[in-house]
Amino acid sequence: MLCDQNSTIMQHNLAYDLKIKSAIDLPELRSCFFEPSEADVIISERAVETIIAPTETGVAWRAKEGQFELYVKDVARFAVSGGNRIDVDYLAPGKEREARIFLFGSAFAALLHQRRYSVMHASSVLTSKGSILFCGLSGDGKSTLAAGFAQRGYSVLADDVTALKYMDDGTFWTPPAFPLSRLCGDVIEALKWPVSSCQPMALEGPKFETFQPTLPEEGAQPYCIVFLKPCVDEQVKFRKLSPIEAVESLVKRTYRYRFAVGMGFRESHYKQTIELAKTVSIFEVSRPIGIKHLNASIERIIEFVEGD
Amino acid sequence: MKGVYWLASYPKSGNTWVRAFLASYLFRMGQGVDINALPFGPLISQREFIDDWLGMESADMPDEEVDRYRPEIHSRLVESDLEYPIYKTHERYRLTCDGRAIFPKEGTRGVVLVVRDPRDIAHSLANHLQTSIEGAIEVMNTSSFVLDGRSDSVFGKFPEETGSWTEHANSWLSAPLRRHIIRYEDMILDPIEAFSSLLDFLECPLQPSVLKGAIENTQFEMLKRQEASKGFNGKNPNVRNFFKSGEAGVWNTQLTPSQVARLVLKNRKNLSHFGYCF
Repeated sequence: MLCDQNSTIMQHNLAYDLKIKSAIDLPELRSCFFEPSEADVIISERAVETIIAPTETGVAWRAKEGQFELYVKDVARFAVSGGNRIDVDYLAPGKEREARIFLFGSAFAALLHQRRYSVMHASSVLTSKGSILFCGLSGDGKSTLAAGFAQRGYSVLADDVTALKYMDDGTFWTPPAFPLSRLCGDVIEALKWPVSSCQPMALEGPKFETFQPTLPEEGAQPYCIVFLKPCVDEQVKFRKLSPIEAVESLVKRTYRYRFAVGMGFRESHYKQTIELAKTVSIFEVSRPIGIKHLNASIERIIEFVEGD
Repeated sequence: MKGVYWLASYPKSGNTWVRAFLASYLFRMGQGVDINALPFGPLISQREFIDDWLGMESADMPDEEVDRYRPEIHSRLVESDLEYPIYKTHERYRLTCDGRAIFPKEGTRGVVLVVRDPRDIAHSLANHLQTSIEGAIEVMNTSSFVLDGRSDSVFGKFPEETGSWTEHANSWLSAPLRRHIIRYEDMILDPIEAFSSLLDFLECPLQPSVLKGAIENTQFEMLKRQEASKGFNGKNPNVRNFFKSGEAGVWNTQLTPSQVARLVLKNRKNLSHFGYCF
């Protein structure tokens, strides 16, 4: 812990290659030391005012140019602005951990959109060739695949949300996210994941949050992006997507795309997505669903990557 | 078209067929349609759809909590920029745990209930759920049945409370919403009449030549052929084919007398209500 210039206790953390100075405790994140003036993001606990005249809204969120607000009933209200500030307003005592689930999820996604990252609904792992992103819907097995790779000694860069940073030289970079994974009870059991490190995400919910010890210090350039497609066939099949299919799929699997639209990034996001599709190989991987097919899927993906 | 139409059906009752017809009639002047790109709202239990509106991962929250938000999502679909805001659901009409109608009157223009003989559903549902006909009948006769309702796993769909076949039908029959019923069997026997009435309910002007074309170009066999050549995104990924036989009355040869009896016994009143002989 360090003190900032105003003597408020501030914690220093690192995620997505961003130096985060936080007034709220973030025990799940990696701690680090840096000068207060070097912070990229400041997280504060303070009252949050509702966004007036939003351009895009959901039932629990509002957005307008450069601003985002999320309201989680009985837990917290979040305001995200300028790509460098998150304000958290707790709505009830004792809700800190629950609030962090939404902070690390939607609030951070809004922040990353504001910083012009390409934010994908994807888990990602580090290989000798670079990062591989597994994109898909809830239930398509993104986290399960990443956890399976972790058990084979690979580092998990991100679980569920992977951010790609567009670099000045026109390339992309996958920074390490949070050392956290979210796994369902059946996967934890099947992978014999250490239960002691798992905490339920919600009362009676199917998912558990678990510490992900393999988070690397450094990120990597993306080697390929795969879109997971569950299928009946036992065989795992790769299909390279055409440029149009690739752009469409990338837009479709952008994490919280409507946030980006609401904050005024529709056009720039699209342009950046086209660049991403030009730079990185993009595939569809049809594979049988179910935990019993996990090893076959991993082996086939490794074979594909290593043999390329 | 102001307000949302709910296209409600028990699974495997012909919902996709109705949407294919409507897509052809409303958007393609009666020509063929791409079953993977029907221009209507998604299945409203898709997590992607719910999460988009919530701005949060529904899988991170207790189902009960997500359920509380759903009436508001549904009442706001009227804001969608869809030309025809028609949304598919397999859920029954019900109140959420805090007493609100899951399909609220606000923003709803009406409901189209697609009904099919439960004895034929049993045959089709067995394939859809990768179970036996016995297993499908068990599902159809189970009170408060929830599809994809496992507590230790997350699926692409939020658990769908269909209820039993009779509960499902009764819930929509008693819903305080403007309603139209279309029977699967009538779509086969007299498609002109069945689809004309549907269009009338949806307040779409009738164009006989387009109607004829839409019926011809969305026949079951054509949809089935399209699935065979291009696949169908709407199917359960565990099954090979979504479109199987499509005929009416297959139960006569596919179900045993005791299986038929189990369905009739539980659903006698509604079988009679919808005009099915037993």
